[in-house]
Amino acid sequence: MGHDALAIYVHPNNPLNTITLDELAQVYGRDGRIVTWAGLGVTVPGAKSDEVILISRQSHSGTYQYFRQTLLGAHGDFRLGTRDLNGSKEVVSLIGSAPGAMGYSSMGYATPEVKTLRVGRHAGEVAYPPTAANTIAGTYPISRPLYIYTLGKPSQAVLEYMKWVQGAEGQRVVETSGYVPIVRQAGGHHE
Amino acid sequence: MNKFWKASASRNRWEMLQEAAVENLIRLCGLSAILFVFGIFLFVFREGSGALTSGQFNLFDFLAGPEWNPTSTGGTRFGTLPLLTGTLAVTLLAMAIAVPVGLGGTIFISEFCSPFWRETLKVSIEFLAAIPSVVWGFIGLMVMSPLIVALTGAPIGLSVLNGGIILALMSVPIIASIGEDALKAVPDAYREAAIAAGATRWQLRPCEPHLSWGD
Repeated sequence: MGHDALAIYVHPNNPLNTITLDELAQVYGRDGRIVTWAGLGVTVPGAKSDEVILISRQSHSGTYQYFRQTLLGAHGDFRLGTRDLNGSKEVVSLIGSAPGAMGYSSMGYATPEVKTLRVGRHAGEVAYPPTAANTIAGTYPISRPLYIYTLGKPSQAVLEYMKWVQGAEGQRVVETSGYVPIVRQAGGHHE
Repeated sequence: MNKFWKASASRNRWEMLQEAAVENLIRLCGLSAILFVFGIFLFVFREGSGALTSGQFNLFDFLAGPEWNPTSTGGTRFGTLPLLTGTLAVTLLAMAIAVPVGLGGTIFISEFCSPFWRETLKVSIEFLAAIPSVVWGFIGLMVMSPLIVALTGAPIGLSVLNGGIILALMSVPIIASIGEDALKAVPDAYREAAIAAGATRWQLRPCEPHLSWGD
């Protein structure tokens, strides 16, 4: 029913602008070796300590599962000591008030109080910002399609609702909420 | 005469039956409260007993293991030591703040207040006690966290201090409310006897041992 990109949020005072998936795995992973902002090559003005404060989500969240899978593979684990928050919005508002923090959340939750990083796959490759165009093109590395699941064949009412979501009005709601609408292929239709 | 006797006897029996029925209904309601609470424990234990009897359960690892990661795809770890220490730390801090403040408020409202302030404060405390804990959590995240960062220079405001203060704020109204009820239950005879023996209002505080009945 749409696409979503997971943006990496930092405080606006943070001089860091780009990051690679490899560096993110070193920061967030259980066996990762980057624990300070100096390890990422920056000093954050206004941060009380050099430690990278990791903001994450609780383990029942789809965002958490997807981020872990993309970054750390099927059997990876997050580093212990991440601050596990309840909702996508809380992650963004907490980062806006903590200069030494870094977190991930849907790109639709961006506010002027935070900054998103450009993400590249590996060192030396182009780093892309989390925009709708980059999500659809697949160039932004942490993007995922959003699905609606039904248990078995959907009933008539549910089918109508799903058609509405995929129709023009539903997709307009997807777009205004900050997510990426489905790209219509000429002549095809989505199930 | 006979007719009246029989009529009143049957009416009496009917009333006695009604009385017994209602009494048993109320007894059932009271018992059901206890039964439901026990039911919660029973069902949770039944669902979890599979893990306890699985042969892989090690009580020492469970209680003293330093890592809690039940949803890991690489290797699940079930050590509850961080959970236990977190709860203990937050609770001890909260009680250190809440008990003196709550008891102090209780004694003030019950012994030293003018009647107007007593009613006002009691109503306010009941309102505060009714605030849902979700709202307290939100206050902790949005209000207390930036405050702690600004006042203590911590890198982030999500900490034991934050949790302890919010828990204390949650507990004070409940402590004050229950304590006030308990102090009201102290027989006036005790107070009057103390005053007759020449005690000042401050020296009346030995009424406090009766507060233990309030839990």
